[in-house]
Amino acid sequence: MPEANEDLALDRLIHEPARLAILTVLSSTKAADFVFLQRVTGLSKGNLSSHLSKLEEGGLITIEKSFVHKKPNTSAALTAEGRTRVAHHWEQLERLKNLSVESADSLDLDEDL
Amino acid sequence: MDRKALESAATRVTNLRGLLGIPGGLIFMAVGLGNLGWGPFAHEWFLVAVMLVLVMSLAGINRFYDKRYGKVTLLLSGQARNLLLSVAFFGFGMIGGAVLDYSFDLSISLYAICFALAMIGWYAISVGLKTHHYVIWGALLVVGLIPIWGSLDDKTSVAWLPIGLATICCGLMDHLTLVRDFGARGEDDDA
Repeated sequence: MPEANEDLALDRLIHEPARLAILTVLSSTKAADFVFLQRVTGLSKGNLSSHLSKLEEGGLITIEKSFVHKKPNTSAALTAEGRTRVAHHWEQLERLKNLSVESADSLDLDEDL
Repeated sequence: MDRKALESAATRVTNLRGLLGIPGGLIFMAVGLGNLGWGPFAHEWFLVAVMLVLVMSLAGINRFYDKRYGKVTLLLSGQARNLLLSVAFFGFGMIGGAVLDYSFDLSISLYAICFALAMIGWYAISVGLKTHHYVIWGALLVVGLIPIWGSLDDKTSVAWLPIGLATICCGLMDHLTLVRDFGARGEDDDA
């Protein structure tokens, strides 16, 4: 059923676990700096930097570079599109989870019969 | 992946900056000792100087946390919620407790009791209660319930002392919780 598959399609840019973690953390913030994101996600500096670049290229986040106490500081924030897409992605995951539970239940029922 | 943990990370990093509890608790104790006119705290200039140093140290500790755990700005709704919770619970604990203590001349400390209940409520809603919150604020609650406060002339000022001590202990434990949840040092802290 191609229609159903399209309904349940997952956003590949968001679905990667590290990027989903970054976007989910950012969804409850106005902005967060690089150190904070590194602490929360546990990613290395290089990995985080690479994921942030991909998310920025995809238009999901904005990145602002500045100097704080004479030290470079990178801050990231979700765009309006990013906020909508990450919320939609979690809804999709929830739907998939519910579908898999329903399928498992119906399989159990078939086996019982 | 724990969605809720990721979504609450910003609130937890903001509200578990426990080392702030050390000068915070010392400020409570200094106010209590100043009101009681104890030792050097009887001199106004000494109390003001101590308060200044403690308030300045709050700014220093905040900078330490910004550097170590990063800076994060909550959404406006999150900021408003934090502010509302703090005003409601600290208002109840500090103002409500004092008013009740003066209104009812009891041998227990309604001030300490209200403060303990307010802190339990604040932690329950803001970051979730941990074992040390039950132990520390529960201990303050018990101290407030012991009927020894009736003989004191200024029991509200005396209550600042155990409140300050509990704030320091809770702050230290909150800091350890933050370190446990988000790591002691990042790989690039000194880079």
